[in-house]
Amino acid sequence: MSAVRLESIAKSYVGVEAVKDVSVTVESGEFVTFLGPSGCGKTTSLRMIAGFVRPTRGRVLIADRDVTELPPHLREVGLVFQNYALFPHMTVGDNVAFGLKMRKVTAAERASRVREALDLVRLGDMVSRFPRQLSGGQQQRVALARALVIRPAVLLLDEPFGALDRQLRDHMRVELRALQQRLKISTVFVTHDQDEALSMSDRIVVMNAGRIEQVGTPAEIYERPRTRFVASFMGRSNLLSARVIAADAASTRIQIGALELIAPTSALSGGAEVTAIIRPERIVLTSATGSGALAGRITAISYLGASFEAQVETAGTILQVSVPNNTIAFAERPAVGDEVRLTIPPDAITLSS
Amino acid sequence: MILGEERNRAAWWLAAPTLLLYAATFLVPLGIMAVFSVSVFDGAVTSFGFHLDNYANALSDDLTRTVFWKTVKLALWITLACLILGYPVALHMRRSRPAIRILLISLIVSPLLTSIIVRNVAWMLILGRTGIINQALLASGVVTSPLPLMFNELRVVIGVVHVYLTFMVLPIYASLNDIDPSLEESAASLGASPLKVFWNVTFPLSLNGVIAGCTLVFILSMGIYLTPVIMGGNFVLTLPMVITDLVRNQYNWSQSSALAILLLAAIALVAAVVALLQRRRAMT
Amino acid sequence: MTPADQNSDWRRFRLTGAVSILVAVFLVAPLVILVVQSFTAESYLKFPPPSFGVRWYRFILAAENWQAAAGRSFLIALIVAPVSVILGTAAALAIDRGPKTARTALYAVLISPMVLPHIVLALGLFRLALAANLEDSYIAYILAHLTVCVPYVVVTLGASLQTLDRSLEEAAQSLGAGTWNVLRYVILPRISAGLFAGAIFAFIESFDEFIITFYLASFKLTLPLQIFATLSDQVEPSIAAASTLMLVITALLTSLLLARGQVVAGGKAIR
Repeated sequence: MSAVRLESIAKSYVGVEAVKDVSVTVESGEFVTFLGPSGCGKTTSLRMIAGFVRPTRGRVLIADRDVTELPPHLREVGLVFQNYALFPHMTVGDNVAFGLKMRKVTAAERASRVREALDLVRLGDMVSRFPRQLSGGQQQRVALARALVIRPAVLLLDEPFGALDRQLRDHMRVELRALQQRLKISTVFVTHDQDEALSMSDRIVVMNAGRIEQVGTPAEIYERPRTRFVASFMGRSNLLSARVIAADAASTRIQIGALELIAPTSALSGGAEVTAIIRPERIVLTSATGSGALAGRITAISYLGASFEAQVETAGTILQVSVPNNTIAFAERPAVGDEVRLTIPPDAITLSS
Repeated sequence: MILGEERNRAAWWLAAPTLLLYAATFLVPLGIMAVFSVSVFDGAVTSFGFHLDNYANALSDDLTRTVFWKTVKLALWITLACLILGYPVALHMRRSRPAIRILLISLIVSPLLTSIIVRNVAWMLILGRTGIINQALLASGVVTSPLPLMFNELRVVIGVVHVYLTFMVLPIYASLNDIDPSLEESAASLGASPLKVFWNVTFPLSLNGVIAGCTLVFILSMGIYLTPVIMGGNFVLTLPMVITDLVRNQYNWSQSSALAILLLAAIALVAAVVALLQRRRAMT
Repeated sequence: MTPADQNSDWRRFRLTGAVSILVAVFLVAPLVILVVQSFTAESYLKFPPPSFGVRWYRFILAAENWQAAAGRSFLIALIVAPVSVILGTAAALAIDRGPKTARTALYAVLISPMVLPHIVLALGLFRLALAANLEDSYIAYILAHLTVCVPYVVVTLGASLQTLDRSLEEAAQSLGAGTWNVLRYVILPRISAGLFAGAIFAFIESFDEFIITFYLASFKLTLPLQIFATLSDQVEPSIAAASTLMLVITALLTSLLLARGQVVAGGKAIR
């Protein structure tokens, strides 16, 4: 049984198609992230699952039940907002108990389940406090408890950590993921932050301009981007126009200007025009005396603390290369004008046509 | 229907009871008045039909015309007085510190929260025939009898300004508040003296509020009854007073309805003209 | 700004300040004088009163016609206030949650009794009441007062509703709350201050109402009408005492609002 299934849903507003044709299945217990820039349709899609937006076309199924026509309060979803949306006029306890109250759970059972939920997020002793007395992170955890206590079929989170500061955000990510895995609760998470998506998800749905660009595990999305958009949205990439020279069962030989590289096997034939996607951190750079297949020269370099971002020219092509800041490859700090050697392993290259 | 981002026509049903109330207390009576306004009253009996006598009388009769223009003149004086007093107060409210501002706002809003009868009684005790000022003047021998007509109109203006100043100050204050201070600051940095800044930047940008306030006060002042009755010393006659007399003393529904409709029409005309002018101003 | 400019700017501030003080005195002094005069022990009005006492308060509190008038004013206002809040809040919701297209028009219509001359409303209502045999009746008073009080509630609640955080309603819905429960647990608690202010404004407007009640009444006088009737007969200190009582009552109610910072908000909303 799938937790959520979106079947070709679309949403048009006057003059704008926010979501064009989206089909996704979230399996039971899975953590799926909708990732993309603002305006890509990820929040609209989430709100269609929650029931606040009516799809123009398509169906929404929750726990294999068609809920497309169902109003929000009858869907079994747990929603967590970026601004927490805690009821300011109710105590923490009453906030968490609200969903149970709506389901006519007895007062006694309410009290114990509220306690349980708050213990889960380690706020058990805040029951009689008011939201305004809590910090941002604490409020977010209460919001989480409130959504979880009703044991929803799916947990929906709309950029929940956007209002928190960096450290707190990192901490909450870990906590949320741990909680989700422990409870095995199906989760749909919306964010524009790729680090969040990569670190927390079982699968990522990358969206752009109302459409799905790619669905896959974090590793697949990052290392095997299938479109230019995904490649450039996730981290930095070298996007180079290439031509296939020859392809066989073992590899594909491509040409980028004067540069010849070997890429993994593909279904491409000789002469095909492709885009070669190479992650800067996969290119191995060493000093001129090190081992490396190609010769090159540093034309620009930026110091980023943990790494250097270098532009290296080789055989007429300029590549972005990320060099870790340790002394393994370079005895001294690399600088502009340095002669260097590069190695581009075949599996660092993804070909996209 | 009232939740969710999709805006629903069904929500309008919530306004139905109120609209029904208004229909009963305003629309239906308006219809009745329209019917009466085209009827004829001979002093005892009202004959219905479609007679424009009442309107003709109103427009041709000297007394009615005089009263009408006197009402207009009075309303204009009241509006002017409210503007002269109200604009500086609105300006001050904008520039003063929060404590003073709150105090002023409370004072300015207070007339809305007191009965018009109370305010008129208070002024009557000061300006009335037996009021403080007359008592003082009589006692000191400056005059031998209470003051004449001109001062009757002044007393009415004072009494009405007292009650309607709110409606001038609030719109002006609102529009002043909407002015981006950086506009005035950049004018000043370009070499304009404070007076020039006010005249070239502040005042024009507050014009919407000024127009709104003046229109509101004028329209309200056309309908005054109690203040001229109490403060006018029997010498100030307004259209509402004539209407009231026709109804309560002469039972002449025909004429009074016609006059009431004319009053409404005059007010609607003013509102329409102002709205038109505002739209043209917004387009240039 | 040059020093000369700064001076003129300062002078302008002092000028507006002076006018403001003048206006403040203008608005307050008459009421102060009224209150002082109400405590006269004489049988006529003079300022300052030769002797002080509560004679006239005792008088109006004992007199049957004054008692009846005050009772009527309170009774009507106590009925009109809550009903106005219900009608006005519903209307404000209709504006806030309905389609944006007719919003301005709907708002204008709902506010209209505030800007229409009350003399016209009075005339029309009187005629209707006569036709329905309801002149000089509580029903007529209440319907008339509702008409002029509901707009105040619409304005106040309109402002309140705009400040609502919609995500709270969505959160409640996601937790299983239908329309009624969202209203009960989220919306109404959040606008409770606006509801209170609306009720106070409605009460005060009904309590203070003169012209329409004047037209409708023959014998059942409300407090403002009783003051006017006495005044028309002869000017005696009872009108000062009664007026002061009216002032005190509305001042007390207003102070309830001030305590919650609502007067400023209400004043801003009414513009």
